[in-house]
Amino acid sequence: MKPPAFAYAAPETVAECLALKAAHGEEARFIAGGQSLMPLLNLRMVRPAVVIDLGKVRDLAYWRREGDDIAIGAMLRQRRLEQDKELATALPLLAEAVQQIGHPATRSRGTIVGSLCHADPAAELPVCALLLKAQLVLSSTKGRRTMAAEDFLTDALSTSIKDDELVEQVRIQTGRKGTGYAFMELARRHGDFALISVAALVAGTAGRVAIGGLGAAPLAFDLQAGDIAGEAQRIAQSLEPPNDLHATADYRRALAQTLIERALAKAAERSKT
Amino acid sequence: MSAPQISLTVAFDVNGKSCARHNVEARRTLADFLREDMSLTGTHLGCEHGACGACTVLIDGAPARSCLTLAAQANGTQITTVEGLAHGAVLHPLQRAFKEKHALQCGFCTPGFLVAAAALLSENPDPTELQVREYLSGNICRCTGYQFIIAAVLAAAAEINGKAGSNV
Amino acid sequence: MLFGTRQTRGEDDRLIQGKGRYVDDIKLPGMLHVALVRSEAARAHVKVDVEAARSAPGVRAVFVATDLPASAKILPDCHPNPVLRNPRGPQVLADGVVRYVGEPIVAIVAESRYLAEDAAELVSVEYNLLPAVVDLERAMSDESRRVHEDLQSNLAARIPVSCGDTDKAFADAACIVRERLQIQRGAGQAMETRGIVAHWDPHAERMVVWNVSQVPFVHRTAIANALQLSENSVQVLNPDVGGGFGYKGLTYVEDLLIPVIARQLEVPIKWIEDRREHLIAAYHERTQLHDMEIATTADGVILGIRGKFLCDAGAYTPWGPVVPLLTAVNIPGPYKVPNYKVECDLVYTNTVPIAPVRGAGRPQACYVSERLLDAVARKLNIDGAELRRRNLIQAHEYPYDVGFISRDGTRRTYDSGNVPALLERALEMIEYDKHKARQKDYAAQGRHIGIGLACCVEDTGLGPFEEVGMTVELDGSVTVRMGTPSQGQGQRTAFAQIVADQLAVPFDKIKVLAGNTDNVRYSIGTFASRAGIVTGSAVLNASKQLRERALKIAGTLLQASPDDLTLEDGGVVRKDGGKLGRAMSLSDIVHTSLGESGAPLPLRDLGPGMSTVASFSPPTNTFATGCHAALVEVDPRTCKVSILKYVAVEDFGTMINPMIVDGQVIGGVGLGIGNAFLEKVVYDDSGQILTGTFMDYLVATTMDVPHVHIDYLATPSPLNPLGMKGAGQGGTIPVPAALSAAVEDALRDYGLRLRHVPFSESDIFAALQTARTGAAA
Ligand code: FES
Ligand code: FES
Repeated sequence: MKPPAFAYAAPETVAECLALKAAHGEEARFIAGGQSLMPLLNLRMVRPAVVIDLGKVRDLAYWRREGDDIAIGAMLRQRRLEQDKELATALPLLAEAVQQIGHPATRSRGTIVGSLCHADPAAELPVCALLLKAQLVLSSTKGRRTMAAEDFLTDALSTSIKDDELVEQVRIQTGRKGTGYAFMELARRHGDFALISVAALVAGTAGRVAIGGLGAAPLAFDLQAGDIAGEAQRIAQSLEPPNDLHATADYRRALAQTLIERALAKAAERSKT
Repeated sequence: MSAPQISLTVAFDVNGKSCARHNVEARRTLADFLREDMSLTGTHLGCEHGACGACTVLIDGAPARSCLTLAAQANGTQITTVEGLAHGAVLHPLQRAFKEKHALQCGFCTPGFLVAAAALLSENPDPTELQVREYLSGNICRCTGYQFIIAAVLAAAAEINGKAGSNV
Repeated sequence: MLFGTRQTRGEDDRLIQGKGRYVDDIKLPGMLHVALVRSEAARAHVKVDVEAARSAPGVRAVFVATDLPASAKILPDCHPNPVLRNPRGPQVLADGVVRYVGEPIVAIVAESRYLAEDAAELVSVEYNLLPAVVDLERAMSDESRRVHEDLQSNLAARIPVSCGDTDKAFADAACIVRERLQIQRGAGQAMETRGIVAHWDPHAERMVVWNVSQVPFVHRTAIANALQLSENSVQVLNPDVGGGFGYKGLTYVEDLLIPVIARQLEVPIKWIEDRREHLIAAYHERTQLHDMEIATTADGVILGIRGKFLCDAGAYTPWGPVVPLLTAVNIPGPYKVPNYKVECDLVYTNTVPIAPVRGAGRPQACYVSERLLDAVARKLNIDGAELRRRNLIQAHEYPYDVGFISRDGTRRTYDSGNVPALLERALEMIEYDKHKARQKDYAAQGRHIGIGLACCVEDTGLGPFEEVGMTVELDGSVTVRMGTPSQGQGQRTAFAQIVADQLAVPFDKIKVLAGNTDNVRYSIGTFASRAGIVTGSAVLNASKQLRERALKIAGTLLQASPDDLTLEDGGVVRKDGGKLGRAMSLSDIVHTSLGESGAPLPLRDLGPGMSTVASFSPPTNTFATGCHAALVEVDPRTCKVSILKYVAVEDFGTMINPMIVDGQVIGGVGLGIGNAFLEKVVYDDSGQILTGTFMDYLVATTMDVPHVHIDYLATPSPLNPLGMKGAGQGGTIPVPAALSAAVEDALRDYGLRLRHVPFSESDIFAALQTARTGAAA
């Protein structure tokens, strides 16, 4: 289990990254924390000709407030959501979800943006991004575009990113007063990818949930009625989760119903404090 | 601008000593680099896909899986391996506690646990049992059933805190 | 006395500093690295083209089946057994046909593992696919699909075990319960994978092999035969080994292949199995499907157990029929089963061969008998603990003749035990009566809490013998040489404790050497919880011999009767505390008795020095017993199980070092929890293995294994001088049964029935749905 040969570059500016990516296109892969890419390399399931390391680029490991949003740079490690109190307070949903992502040793390398780009169907952060209608900033030598998470996350391990683009930043709305957030999941073991994960927010009578673990891109639903149990059932019934090694589709649907119900109840409770 | 290279020079500090190697293949993992090029074989490979924690080292003080890190990525960093936990002949309190509490059997997982636990105690010197369990949940041990590992980490924490207390 | 006390381990000082030396840490000058090309098909005729690989960068040689000598083409059956009608050994490299995904086909030898893997990708294998045999029942019913085309069917062995008259027992029974019980495939998965370094030493004219073997002498013979060398031209060395769990006690094709390559190329060769290879190609265990029934009186007293089961052999039989045989003889467990009849078919499939993994057939046996008892308890509405009380062999009934022939060919007789006492202690520790009484209150609070129990026996300490060499060195320190290597069990510490007591030498002056076939003359190996008992007893015998010898020499030199002397603090003293003519340490004794260079030996009648070789041969195996109890809570909506408390009460006879035994129990429970909830090797219908990474094959973590509460009640074994019973597997065996019962009990109001392990949240959900539709129908 050794990676196949590739060439490596460690540029120091975003412009250099984009130039390299433009030159090598789909032959090149960015590596940030490497926690998704490295297992694939070791298993020889991907074989890029060029690996572009974002780790040496100055000024990508930032977060800052931009209006009502938190802007997160491509190299900000997941652990910052645990260790930086101010960031955790600003993004309560992500701070709760991050506890479920892998383990400290993977979170201290893995990046927030990297997890969104890898788009594992059972990963936690894409679910949060979808719930909070995060905006991704995609850059290339030709310019820059902004895209909603909903449009960015297209399928399992698939995004709308183009061969010459880098996701330079993600913008996520800060937690609002009067809105309650909750993240819940069930995995076979602590830190494993979720069988089903649910992110929920409740503000007054409005509510929204996003669900991961569906074998495809996560899905989000705005509540249509105030009856939480009824809504959970309606939403769960519409899901088409996968049958796999770890759980059947029927179980996942039932689990989704339970977790939607519980996450909404918890979010509702939190919205009042 | 830095052109992509098949092999390169890597330079970093390992256990407080700076080291540099030329012509390191870009694809070489940090784990293989430490084990083979630096002869630091205390870092073990249990899975090579990030699922067991046997290869855990500290990169700039933070725990990392060296099988999921390229040697090239570690350029310019400070790395601590199990060989760097002791201060000369004085073992780290965790090392002593692991022996005292029988936290190891075959010892293969032990370096990864020690390094991860050292990271935990430097972040949180007084963890609860659940916090220890959560922090170490990415490290697999097939021999011990973990109970004495948890006990050893808690004992080492108590020792460290006791000493810190007596200095105040 | 160090025997019986907690003693921290001498092994640990190196290991906690990263100074262990495992096989992958061995580097020899000029060493080359091997990567294997493994089959991607479960059953196929194959054609191989290695030309591109041969000329790849860094490649020094490529081996295919035809490059191997005739003596190294097929792995020999290391454990021939007459019930194995149709043995088939694994091919060292597949020769034209492959029979499971992961079977090795080509070996690439290159300057680094990286380059070897690069070249392996250039090998082209053309697969002419044949329909794979995967499902066990279908393997027996559909004779058109055969794993071995030269055989008439997929039957490898048929194993019958019986006693009494089951027909009559069932005819007379007031209660009969039938169950179909399944155990799925699991694996050992030590944290260190397998690995081999082999090196032909042209100066010594010897093949020197470092490997991770639990049975280095077995490997030495197998390697010698493959290379057509005498055993004295092969040395097998075991450095630190990162866990064994049974499957490192087996012989694999790589154990022959790597030395063959090293001999042919005359260069040191290293092969380290990676985790993926280990998951898809190292032996598995556990797959068995049991159709069993139990007959009892109206009071729940067992009249008989009978049935059939299928055991999945995988594609070859490298370790004979040991696993199903162990299940067949262990089903009666610690219970009185006067009439018993079971027949097992060992069946070939296109999957990885099976061989013993910690527990070895016994978790299956325990699962069968305990699940049958739980079903009887439910049917007769008798409390589970009470039902067990009525059926356990009572303390005064030991030694207990089970009524049939055991694995080792002797009449199966439990030498000693007191399982009723273990049960009572476990009930007390888990607070059985309290929780049973409160179950209604818990339910009213919406909590679903249940208790499960399981009792087991384990045949441990198998023969035929182990041998130990022991020498007191000139400085008075002691060297112990033995043949049973350690995979983490702490033998160096435990055996030093025995020696320290006998020779009155400080613990840290004793060095125990293992893992080198030059150490002793013969050995069997470390498996089946035997090293502590058999090697430990040989250590005792050797220490006693040296002790006697020391007193005899001292008596001669001091003109005292050896009977008046004893050893204390590394020297000879008078038993009555009186003064000796002069002080005499063990070192003095060795010096004196060895004499001076060039001079005649001083004590001609006694011979030179303080060195001996001793062995121990148990008359038959002894039996460890245990009782486990689990208290769990289940969320009926998510089906998540939490273990609130886990209790293990064990009878391992006398114990050398209880700290080490605690570790064995807790580690065993950890594996058992994996077997109950998590660990499952999965093949699809075409024989593709779906659990090729640690993300799919799940082992228990710190969050899954709870604190294990342990107690011991010892009935010393009469079969060895120290009264020991093995402790290596007892922790694992009852866990799946106890947890299944606890989860069923927690969801008893829903009518939950669990009939297979492991079971996931999703499996509990499906079983609940079955119970619901069953109740509605
Ligand atoms: S070897 Fe790196 S996590 Fe297992
Ligand atoms: S001590 Fe053997 S794997 Fe942990």
